[in-house]
Amino acid sequence: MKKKILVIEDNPMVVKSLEFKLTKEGYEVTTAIDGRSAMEELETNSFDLILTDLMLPFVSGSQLIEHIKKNYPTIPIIVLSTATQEDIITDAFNMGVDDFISKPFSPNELTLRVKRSLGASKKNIHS
Amino acid sequence: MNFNFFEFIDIASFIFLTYGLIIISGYIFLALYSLFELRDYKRKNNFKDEVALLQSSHLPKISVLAPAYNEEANVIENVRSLLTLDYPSFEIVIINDGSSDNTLDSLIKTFDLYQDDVLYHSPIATKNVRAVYSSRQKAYKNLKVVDKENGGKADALNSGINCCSHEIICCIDVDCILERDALLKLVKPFLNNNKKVIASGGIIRVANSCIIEDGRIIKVRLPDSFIDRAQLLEYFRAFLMGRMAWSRIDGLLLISGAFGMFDKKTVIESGGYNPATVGEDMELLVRMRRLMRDKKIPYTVSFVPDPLCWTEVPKSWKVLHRQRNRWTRGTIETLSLHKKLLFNPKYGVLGMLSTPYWMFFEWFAPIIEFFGIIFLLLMFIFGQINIQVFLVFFGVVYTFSVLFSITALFFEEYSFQQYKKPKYMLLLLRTALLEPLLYHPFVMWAAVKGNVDLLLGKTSWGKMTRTGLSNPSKPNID
Amino acid sequence: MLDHNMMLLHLTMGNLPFYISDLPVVLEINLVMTMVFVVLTILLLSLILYLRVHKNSQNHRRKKLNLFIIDFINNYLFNEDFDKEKETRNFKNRHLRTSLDKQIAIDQILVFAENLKGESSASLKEVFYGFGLKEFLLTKLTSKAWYKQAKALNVAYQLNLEIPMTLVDSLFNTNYKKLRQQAFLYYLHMSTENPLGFLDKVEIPLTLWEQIYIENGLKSYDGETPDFSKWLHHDISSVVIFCMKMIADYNQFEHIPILLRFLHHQNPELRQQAIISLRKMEEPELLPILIHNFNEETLLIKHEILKTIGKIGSEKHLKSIGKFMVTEEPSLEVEFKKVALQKNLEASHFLGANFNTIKYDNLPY
Repeated sequence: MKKKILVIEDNPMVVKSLEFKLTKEGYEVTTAIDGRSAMEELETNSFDLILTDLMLPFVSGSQLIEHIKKNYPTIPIIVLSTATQEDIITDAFNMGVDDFISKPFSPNELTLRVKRSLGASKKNIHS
Repeated sequence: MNFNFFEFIDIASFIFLTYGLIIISGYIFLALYSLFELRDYKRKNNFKDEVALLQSSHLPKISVLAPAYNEEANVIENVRSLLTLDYPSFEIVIINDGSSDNTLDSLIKTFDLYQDDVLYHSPIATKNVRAVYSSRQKAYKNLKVVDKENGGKADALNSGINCCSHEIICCIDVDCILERDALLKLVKPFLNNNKKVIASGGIIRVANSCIIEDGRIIKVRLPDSFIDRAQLLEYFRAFLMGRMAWSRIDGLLLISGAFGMFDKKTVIESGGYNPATVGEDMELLVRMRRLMRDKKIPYTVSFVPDPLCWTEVPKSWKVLHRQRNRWTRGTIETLSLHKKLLFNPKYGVLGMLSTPYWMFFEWFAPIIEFFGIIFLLLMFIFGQINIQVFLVFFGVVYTFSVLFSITALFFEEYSFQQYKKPKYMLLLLRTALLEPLLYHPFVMWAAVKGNVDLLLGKTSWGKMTRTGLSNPSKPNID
Repeated sequence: MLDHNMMLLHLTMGNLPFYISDLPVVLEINLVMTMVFVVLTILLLSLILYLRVHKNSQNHRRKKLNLFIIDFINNYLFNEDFDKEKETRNFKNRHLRTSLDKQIAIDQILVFAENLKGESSASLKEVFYGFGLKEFLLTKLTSKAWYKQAKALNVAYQLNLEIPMTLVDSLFNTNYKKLRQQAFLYYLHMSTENPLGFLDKVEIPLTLWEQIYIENGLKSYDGETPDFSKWLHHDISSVVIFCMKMIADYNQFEHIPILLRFLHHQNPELRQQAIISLRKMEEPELLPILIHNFNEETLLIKHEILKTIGKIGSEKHLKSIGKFMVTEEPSLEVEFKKVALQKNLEASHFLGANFNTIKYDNLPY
């Protein structure tokens, strides 16, 4: 069965590229353009991985991550953001995200990391 | 008696024509120069590369000064919003101007303040400062609160200037809403100029009816009520048409008290804000310009048209009347204090254009208009004009006012286009058509009343027993 | 139009005396003016309407074309079965006809370049060339309008496009600030070993804003950090100041001896920056020189010296300048006391015997 990924990002170009690339790689991709609609998606569907930006309209990325960690603690999260400041990255890891990819990103590297996070979460569940 | 009366009519018609010509040339000047200035500004600023600069440690530090007088209802929220401005290094200085409510207590409680016996030099004389507070919490380390005896807005700002730490100061009304990048945009002229920049001012936008969340404008909406919309139109005329044009020829006389940035050294050297006038924002800038000119230092004053500062304008006719009455007195006081500049070629644009313009258009215009109306009424009474003649005179004045407003609307459309819904455009058009009939006579009367009050000296502006500090932005044309 | 009015005005004057009730000329003027105003108002209203419609149709076009371009580039980047050459030609012929179309394409490629790196960057450049946008960019660069040139340079350095350096060289001293800045950034981003080489050609002062842009550009420069001392003897003092700042920021301690020499420079601005930079690098030799010069220094630099003592000095240093403190400079005295407090010292022990402590508190005068 296809793995399901939720992509949360407000830049239409990035959303489209991620959707295209990840679909090509054999995943089922759902997209949300802001925190609010992401929360709605999470309520109606189940996902194997979440890929999110930190700068989001309405509900900020960190609020969203907190929400996910509280309600869906098993879904791995990868943050994709422009933040170059170390404290933002550290904060993200402290909140329990699995990986941090900074923009600009390399699409190939991103798919590798997605694969890795999905693999790691499987191991976690089994052990 | 009849003979004299007709001679009087001749003179009056002559004055009417001359005055009309001056106003039309003024209009052409404002329209053309604003157009050029806005065009240039747009060209210079359609690069999206400035955000990265916020990482630089070489941007000058800024002190944001906000006086607060009986603001307990909103001050906490306002300070929180100010603290989240996007700029690498700045401090917020709130000056509690002897509030009689709990403004100070709620600040102390919320931000965990303690009395900080910091040493500082006070080059400008002010009313007694009781204490300076800082926060124990790291998150608020760039907040300072000055507690002082009531002395009015100018005095409050002066004590803020005395004890703030940085060389560039930004004076604001505590209740105005700033865009996150406001400081960067306003400081840019200081850094990117070959001449010394002594001040830069921003455009003031009307926040009435806008949707505001956490001290941010979430959605721009056109005000629902006529009086708000009429003021909005007035602000368009004043800022997009007036100040843009004046800034192009470096003849700005006023930077709104609601949002302006200054070079602290020059402010101190000029003596700071003048607490004896109700037009302290205009008076300071004129004095600073005079100082620079007298010292023969090349300098400039800059103006940024981006919508950076939003403020609530008076919603009731009574408050509006009080505000306009005060603005008129402020203008007259400033012009009288600096009458040496008037038609003085030594002061260049300032002496030959800016101050005469303010005298004729800001000070005299409402008076002339007022007497014009009385004159027409008298003619009616004496049976000297019929209704057709009256309509012709009325028509020319009316169509000109509408043209002026529509030109300003055009500039808004050309520059920032904040009111995108077609419905808004229609409403603004309707406002432009009604404003000369329903709104303008009222502000004209407020201005005339201001003149009368100043002449009779019956107001207590010297003591400044004010009800609030909101003294937004004074548009410089009518 | 105005002349016409003046003529009418003279006519009016010629007709004196007259009665308001039969004032044909004045009324005529008024009627004409009213009509002019009405016509102008209608004209402006149509202009507003036109601007609206124009902007909306442009935005509509932009939205539509953006979707096509994003789709095209995604296929180009990630779809192995995509016939790149043929599809590029097709796309160009079908969708990129007007200069607005080309501008939209450039903007969208820039968005991609901003977000993607690695193997995608080269592909994006291919798309750019394939769409024939290089030629479009060059016409802009050689245009007379500075804002078009500036935009073109901006695109060029973001996409790493080679353009003839002769076109850029002449722009280092233009009076159009935005253009000059983009020229600097282009040089910096395209350079492989000498990112600040343009400084050799700079003949008019660098504004602080330009300095910050250059500083910011250097942060993303991949090559070796330049040796900033190369321009410490530049004719333009703002260039020298910029280099002194950078020496401190990049910890180029090997240049401290040159900076120390600047403490005796005749230009106070250069002396001041030298102090700030050396203070940042906490150079121990700095303080003895400053204290020796203290009495002859300008007020501004005296402040810097006190600040330096506060940061890296000791009780001894503070004591040695106490005797030079004069009552006429209250702001300096406050600074002095602040430093003393910071070092937990009683300031009065250090000030000269004939020093009258002035009031620095906040009582009304």
